[in-house]
Amino acid sequence: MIYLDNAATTLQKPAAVYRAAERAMLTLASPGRGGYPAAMAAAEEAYRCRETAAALFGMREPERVVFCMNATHGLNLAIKALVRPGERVVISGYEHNAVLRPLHALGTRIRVAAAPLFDPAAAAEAYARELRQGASLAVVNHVSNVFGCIQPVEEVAALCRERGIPLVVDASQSAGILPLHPEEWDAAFVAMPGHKGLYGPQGTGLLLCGRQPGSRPIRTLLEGGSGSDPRRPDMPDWLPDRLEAGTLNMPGIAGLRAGLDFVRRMGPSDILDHEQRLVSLAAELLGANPRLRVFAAPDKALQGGVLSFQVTELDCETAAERLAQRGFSLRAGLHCAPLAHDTAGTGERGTLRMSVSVFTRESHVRRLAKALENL
Amino acid sequence: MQDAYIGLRSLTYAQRAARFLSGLGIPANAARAPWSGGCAYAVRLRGGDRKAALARLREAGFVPGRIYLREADGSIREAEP
Repeated sequence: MIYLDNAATTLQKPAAVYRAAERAMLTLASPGRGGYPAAMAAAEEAYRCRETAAALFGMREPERVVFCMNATHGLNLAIKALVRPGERVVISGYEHNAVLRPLHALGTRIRVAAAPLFDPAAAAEAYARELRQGASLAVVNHVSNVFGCIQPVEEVAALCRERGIPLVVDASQSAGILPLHPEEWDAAFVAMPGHKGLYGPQGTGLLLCGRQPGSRPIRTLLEGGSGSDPRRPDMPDWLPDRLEAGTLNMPGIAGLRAGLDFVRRMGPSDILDHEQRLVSLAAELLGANPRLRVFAAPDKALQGGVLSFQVTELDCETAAERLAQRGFSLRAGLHCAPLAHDTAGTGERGTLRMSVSVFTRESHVRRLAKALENL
Repeated sequence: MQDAYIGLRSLTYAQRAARFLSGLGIPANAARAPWSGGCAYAVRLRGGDRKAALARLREAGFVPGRIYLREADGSIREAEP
């Protein structure tokens, strides 16, 4: 099998990740639930994971690294902490349903800062236009899970700082490859999965918590045991306890730390360079096939490790099924991001998406291009 | 030698405080607080200068809570900061 669905999850992980998760299952109890060695060993593992993430993302306080189940969980925590029904929220034209659905469920007024694909200047201008009219929150998808287009987070963050508007960054496809600077951005929250570009197990995610607007404690999504101040009826005011009700996923967290260590050793910029070279090669090879419509950036620096395309006379699901029969794992359809397709004009058919990882090889891309010639 | 326990609001906070003190060369680790009253965590100082450790913690913005000493016979008593 040639696995090219890394935007969904990186199926192939460093061996250290499997070993760490197994070791955790065998030896770690629950952090914050006792003072005996297995509980304190779990606490140490959890803290080391927070420290590693904080170091990778330039966070001074490891307690601002909150564990969650995935990016969707983190985005729900962030969005529901910050906005109320009827409030105006500005988002990019490439948001995932992990952003759209919580905003819809809350009954917010959603304003889309729409911009063409691979045009960060237009995206920044669209945010400026919308934010000038005021907003309770801005959300930006750092890298589109459909098209890989990189959004101008720095510019959007600057606009939010000027206007005192809280910012949430969806780093689902950028964590592990692009520099994330939550403190420099002054982002209220940055959410990311642990199981994609950070190479951790599924069921893991991180929510990086910045300065919160106002003086009240963050609104919670879940309440329960936190291992601290048990007599108070509400959740503790402090992080991470406030947002971490219930038992932590220690096998996941141990595996995630091994994944984070792997990313730090490899270097996010080298991983990005590898992924951009592969996407650029795929764009060139697939672009030479007259049966394909390829959505590639004019400059490879504007695109992460994701490339969408369509087969002109085949629907995407059929094309993906035929590729699967030939041993290629790609995702087809709307990729849980209908807004991105509406913005890019692919909403009727959706796309086929190939997404790469550090384990993807040039030969994999060449074999996919060959298979598409005879599909 | 007495161990001193400096109460802190959470396990994670105690862990950060312990890392901070260790970085200053003051032997410390996060530990379950030995007093009753539910889940509570502390920085445990293995000997050393308790008052100096407290001063460093306060300078760094930590907010220490109750302080207890464990005597050589295993008994626990509250101490003045």
